[in-house]
Amino acid sequence: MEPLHHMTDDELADLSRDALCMPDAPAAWVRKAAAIGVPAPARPWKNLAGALAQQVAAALNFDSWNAPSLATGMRSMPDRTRHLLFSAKGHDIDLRIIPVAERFAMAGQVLGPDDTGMVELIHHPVGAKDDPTHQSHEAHVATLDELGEFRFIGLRQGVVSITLRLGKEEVVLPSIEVGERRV
Amino acid sequence: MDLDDDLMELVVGCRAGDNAAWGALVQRFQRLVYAVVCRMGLDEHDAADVFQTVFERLQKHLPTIKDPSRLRAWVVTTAKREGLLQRQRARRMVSMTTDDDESGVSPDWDLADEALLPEQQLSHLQQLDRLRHAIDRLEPRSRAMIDMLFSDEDERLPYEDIARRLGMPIGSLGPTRQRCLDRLRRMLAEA
Repeated sequence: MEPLHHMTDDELADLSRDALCMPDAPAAWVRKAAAIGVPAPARPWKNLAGALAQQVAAALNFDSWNAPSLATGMRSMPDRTRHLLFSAKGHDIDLRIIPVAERFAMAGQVLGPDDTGMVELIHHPVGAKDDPTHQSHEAHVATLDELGEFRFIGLRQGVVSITLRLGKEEVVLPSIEVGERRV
Repeated sequence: MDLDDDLMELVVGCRAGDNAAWGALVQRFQRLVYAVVCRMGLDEHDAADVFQTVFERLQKHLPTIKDPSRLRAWVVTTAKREGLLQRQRARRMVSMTTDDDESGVSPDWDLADEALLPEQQLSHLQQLDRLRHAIDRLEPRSRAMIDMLFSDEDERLPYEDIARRLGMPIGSLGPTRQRCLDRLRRMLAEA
């Protein structure tokens, strides 16, 4: 079958006509399917025994919020940047949370035997529970680049859960608070 | 941006228990699943059951999805398989009630299952669904133009009316149509 983007104008126009004629399923069917819903995720620390064999919980090795800046060798970093280091089964994960205007950016790098894969971030913004018009989760996905780096931008203050899918392994980081440093 | 980039975000949202993401995923595939089940020769009740079953399967499949670009193919294959199973179940029920029928005439639905929805037709439906998704992602004015230009022949408006509705000179319709098709082609090539 010819790829769509190789079609002539007339072929693409004809196919567009057919595509526009595709009817929606009856609304009641769609509502019923949507009502199936999705289960709330099990917390990793609650279901470790039942978790997938490849799932690995990462350990926090360093958090600049908990260390005097002079002792960390991070003197050149801007004060408001938070630096975290995690490790999990041969993988080291370097994470920086950087305030940008009213929001936060998160830049990370995965170092280890398999530095290809993707990063899933679930963001629970502060106040989402109290605001019925606001979605309680926001999902973001990033692919590791050739240096094993990834980046998320525009995060609001809140808590994030990060899962890295690296080859056959699923590395789960502990929940991370995103926001200004508590005094 | 890849045409299906948002699919993985929906999948991740579903894994996190976000029912809004699930609703969006259902909305994303409802038309495609409906297109498949409508071609399976099922009555309305059975077709509705198959439609629901496909989304139940999709919900269970969510934790294992790694490559969202293959999700569309998974959906049509599952819809076809569930449709065939439903046909077999219906056939068994009917054959229990037609044991005494010695007319020897095969009912209309007694087709070779393999003849139903051959791979080429499934691929065509996926292609239509991708194209429809791309059309839906055009900016509103281009989307409206495509709608008016490519609607069914008996509903199609004269060029003068389309130009008036879009607030553009009639001479601009052709070049704008061309730009819309080029934009669609680019979106489809990126995927």
